[in-house]
Amino acid sequence: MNAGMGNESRENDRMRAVSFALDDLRLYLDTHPCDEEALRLYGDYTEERRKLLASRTDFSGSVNAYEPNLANGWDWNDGPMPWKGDK
Amino acid sequence: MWEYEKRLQFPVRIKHPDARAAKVIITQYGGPDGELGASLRYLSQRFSMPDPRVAGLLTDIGTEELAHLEMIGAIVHQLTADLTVEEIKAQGFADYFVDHTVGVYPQAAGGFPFTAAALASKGDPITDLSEDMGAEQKARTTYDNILRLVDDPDVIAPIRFLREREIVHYQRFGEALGMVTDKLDRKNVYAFNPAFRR
Repeated sequence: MNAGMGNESRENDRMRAVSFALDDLRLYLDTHPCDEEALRLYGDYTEERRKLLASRTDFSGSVNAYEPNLANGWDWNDGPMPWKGDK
Repeated sequence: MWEYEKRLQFPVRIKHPDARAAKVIITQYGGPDGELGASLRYLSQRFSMPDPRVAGLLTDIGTEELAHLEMIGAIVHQLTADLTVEEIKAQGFADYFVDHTVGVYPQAAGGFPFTAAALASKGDPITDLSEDMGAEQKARTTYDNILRLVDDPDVIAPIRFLREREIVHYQRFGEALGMVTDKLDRKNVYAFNPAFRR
């Protein structure tokens, strides 16, 4: 568990960054639905997010309950909840 | 973090406008035992819930309640969107209409605006889960009363679905209360707050 922590943290940071990029682009596309550049970026980040989710080795459980990782059983409530900070 | 899915949990397709029905059903949007209060209750309580399984359950039920809020909003919208001014006057909807036109506003059936005073977040897992079981029963009673007041099958179907979900949530909260009490210190036979023993 400890050996991979550095990677897990980087994975989490990238997951948060890619997801936020999608959150921000989504609002932009709501008011600029024909912007080709924004559309391309949305597609790229969607693909990266899908790959990050698939390769996730984090030990705090599935991120999304509609697309869970069932390999380790019901891990939805594993690990610290996101509001727990570093505790 | 939340993500919106552009679909209703259970379909709402109402063919006949009915302001009288909308005026009582809106209480499950913003009334004392409504879906908005339910969602805020569970999503607030989870921060002080030490057992991650129970905190996860509060997150999941609090999230589902937002989907139920959306269904109630859809029912009220479909019951009122096509009303004529004559129908609004004849069906006792003028007092709502004058403030909100046919927009959806969180209020109780009696017109009282949404208030967080109808929900609690006490910071005590046993107190909070007991409140939640009571809250689910109060919502179930409200849906039973709505079912006594409406006769359109298009309205009855989603209301019955929502009523059934209250029963499921009550069951799950009962199990969660069992999970919390099973972990109590053996000296804590009176079930004092297990989350704040200082």
